[in-house]
Amino acid sequence: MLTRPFKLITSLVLLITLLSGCGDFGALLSGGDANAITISIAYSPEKDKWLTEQIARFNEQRITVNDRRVQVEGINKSSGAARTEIKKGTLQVTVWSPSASTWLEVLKQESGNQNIAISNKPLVLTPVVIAMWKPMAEAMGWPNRPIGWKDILDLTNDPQGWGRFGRPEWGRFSWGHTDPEISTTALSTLIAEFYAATGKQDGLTVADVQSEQATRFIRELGRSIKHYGYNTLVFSENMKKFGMSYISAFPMEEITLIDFNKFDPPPTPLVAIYPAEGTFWHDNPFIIMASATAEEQEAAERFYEFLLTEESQRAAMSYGFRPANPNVPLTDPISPAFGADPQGVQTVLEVPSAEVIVAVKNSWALNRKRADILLVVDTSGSMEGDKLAMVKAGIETFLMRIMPEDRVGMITFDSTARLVVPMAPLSDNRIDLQVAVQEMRAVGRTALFDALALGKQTLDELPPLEEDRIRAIVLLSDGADNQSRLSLAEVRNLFEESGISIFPVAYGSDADRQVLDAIAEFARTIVVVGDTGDIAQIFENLSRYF
Amino acid sequence: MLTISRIVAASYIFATIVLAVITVVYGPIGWAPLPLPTAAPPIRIDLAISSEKEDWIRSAIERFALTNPTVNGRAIEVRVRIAGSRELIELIERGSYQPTAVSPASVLQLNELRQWRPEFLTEPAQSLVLSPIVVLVRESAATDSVVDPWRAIQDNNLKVKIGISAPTRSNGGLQTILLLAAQYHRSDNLTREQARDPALQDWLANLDRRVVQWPASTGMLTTDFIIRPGVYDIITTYENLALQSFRQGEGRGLRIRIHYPPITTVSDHPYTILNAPWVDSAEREAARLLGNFLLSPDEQRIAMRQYGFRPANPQVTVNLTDAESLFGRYADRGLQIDLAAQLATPTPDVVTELLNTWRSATGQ
Repeated sequence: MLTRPFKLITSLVLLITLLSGCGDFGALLSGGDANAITISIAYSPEKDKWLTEQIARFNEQRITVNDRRVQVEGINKSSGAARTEIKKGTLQVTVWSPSASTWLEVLKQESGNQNIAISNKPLVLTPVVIAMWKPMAEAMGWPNRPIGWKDILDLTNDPQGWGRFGRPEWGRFSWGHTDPEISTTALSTLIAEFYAATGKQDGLTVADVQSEQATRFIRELGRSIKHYGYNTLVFSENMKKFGMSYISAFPMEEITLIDFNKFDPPPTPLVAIYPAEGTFWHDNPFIIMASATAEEQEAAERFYEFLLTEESQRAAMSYGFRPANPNVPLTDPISPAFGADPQGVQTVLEVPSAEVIVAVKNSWALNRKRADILLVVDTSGSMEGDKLAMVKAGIETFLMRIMPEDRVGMITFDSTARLVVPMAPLSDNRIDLQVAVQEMRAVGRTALFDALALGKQTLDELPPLEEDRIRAIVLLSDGADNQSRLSLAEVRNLFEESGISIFPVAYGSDADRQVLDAIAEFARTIVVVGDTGDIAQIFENLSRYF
Repeated sequence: MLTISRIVAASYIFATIVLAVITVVYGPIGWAPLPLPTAAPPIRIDLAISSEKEDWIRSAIERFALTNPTVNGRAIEVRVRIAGSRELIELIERGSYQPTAVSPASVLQLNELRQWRPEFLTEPAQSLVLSPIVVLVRESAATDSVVDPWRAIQDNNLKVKIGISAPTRSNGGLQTILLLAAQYHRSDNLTREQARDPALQDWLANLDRRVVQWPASTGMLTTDFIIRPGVYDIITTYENLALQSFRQGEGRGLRIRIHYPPITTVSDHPYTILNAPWVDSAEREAARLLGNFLLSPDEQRIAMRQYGFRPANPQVTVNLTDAESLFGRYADRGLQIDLAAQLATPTPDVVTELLNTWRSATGQ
């Protein structure tokens, strides 16, 4: 008979022997990943759903390079922001996949390093299109007649507006534009506009970009821009929420349009207009950075091969991308059922040199519409302490990012609302604004709705200028109105059809989001949270709406 | 007796525990007095392949593995490296890549390697498959008026967007500019003087203004032609890639046609085993078996039917009525079995002169 301790030891020995037979003990104990080659990929947000799935699938397959497992980590980062961070050295990745190769050219130019990447191959594709409501596109002759930027300009300049096509009830043509500093679609759209302005399809030069003819074309086209925005998502959401009355058209990637029509489809769909003058393919390049080691480069190649497999490419197509693997045929949703035309792209514009791209990007600030912006600031007792301190810091940041020609004024409100700095070009009243900010004290009750009414009156009383301007109120508050003579409903009526956008910036965890959300809802904007996260970034993003 | 048994068992268990602990803490101790017999390690051969053969060769290697090939009882394992033909040769010349066998697109690249490392090329090269240079045209408004696309490339006054792969990196690009230079001089046998003619350089500089891009490989260019319609109106490529692009274009609603230049040049895809110090006799034998497999009638038929290559094995012939093959399926797209007169294979110094002229003309 074996004694109990002896049995225990015998069992332990048998167990160890069994486990030893299973292979590398160290690997077993460490989960097998201690020796893995880890590569990182920073990719643009529209690829997030697809790449999140594919990275998980790839990691499950335990693919190896030199007998070491390859592990991929994904970082969702917008193209413009990634290029800035790579340039500064704050983002170090093995692979970068912005929306388009254009960003690599910008990065090379801005960093002065032509050898920053070792390879650049397309991952998935999508063309830039003008997304227009189907009835409006049909009124313009779609799908039988090619439509281009020139047609959009003619419609913009026509005082009859949509009456030109027998639909006066739709009013004037309007569209939206994001910022080419951060948005790939906006940058490609702006380059396409310059091509259209010069009548070229290739060979765009810096002189072309700076020519009087092109400047006039871009500014005239810009007159019908109703909303500027930080990113495509806000436009997409608002177009879904407000329908045809929000804007007539918006340049976007074909994948965004397909997503718009495919998921939670609106009653009126958008259709893709492939501009007659030509457009760009966004090639979502797989860029292996020169900083990667030889093993990391090889691991990245294995990952690229995986992403190019038919299974992976078909998955990308289900989200609206066109496959880069030529053996994968185009099927739904790249089809008219989702607003796309598989053969829609007929003419492709030449990607200009980096120098020209940077010139186009820099032209944006000069050619965009100017804005009249009224800051409406809550200085009631509930804003005391951190909230008011954050408001002051936010306004300082905001004023640094506004153009000197923009007219800016300030209203503060507690139990009553008062105009503390009248509207004037920022170049003239910057000091007055800074002094007013420093003098703000938190006292009294909150007359938020009355302050908005005073804001509208102030903007309406501004002497008109020859040029069209964006008119906006930036409302910085915790939203708890308890003193106004006017109600929320009365304020809503007041701003209806006023053409004034209100951007509420919420302060404090106790902010009355119901009121602020309601204001954003009727103003067709979004609520920005002003006191969490990076204040400089929040106000920089906010400044891109003007 | 029981005590002795217990002592033996306890000693064994103790020794096992000690060895297990040492193994876990320090790793395997590597002492095996009676090792079990294991399978002989496989013979690994490295194959350098030009990019336009990638799909065929990768699938052929899978079929080769299914035949369980061995040399001296050792299994054969094939690794491939795919790149542009000139790029592969440059890697070998620089000593940064040591393949067992190479198969660039053309004998021109072997001639180039022979200039630098003649000792590597003592074995005769065998042609695996054949493919002439052709012109592919996407039917669109831009090409409606183009009757002869080869002439359209030559006519610098005609506004079409052209794609040619870089002749310094790709065989397809090199073959194209050889044809263009021969036509420029109305010759089928280029000389050094013709290759460095300043007038030819001016003409190439004008052509460069109409060339959208000079990509690194003909395979990449042809893929781009399919996946980004509108970027190019006309490209030069290999017939086999053109045939594959018909199939790919169908899935994308593209209308594409093929045209043949009046003087032709055929890529012969030579296969040769390197007589290099890193290739031993077993590897040489393994590479020979693979070469024989690729030239077998069955494999040649697959290369023709599925991948659009003209067979090098005379036992297999191209049949335009064979609906199973790419040739038969797309016979109405302008395919031609009989080719025009061939350009004489230029000497390496003519190639070098022409590449220098191209570099000066394009600034690349």
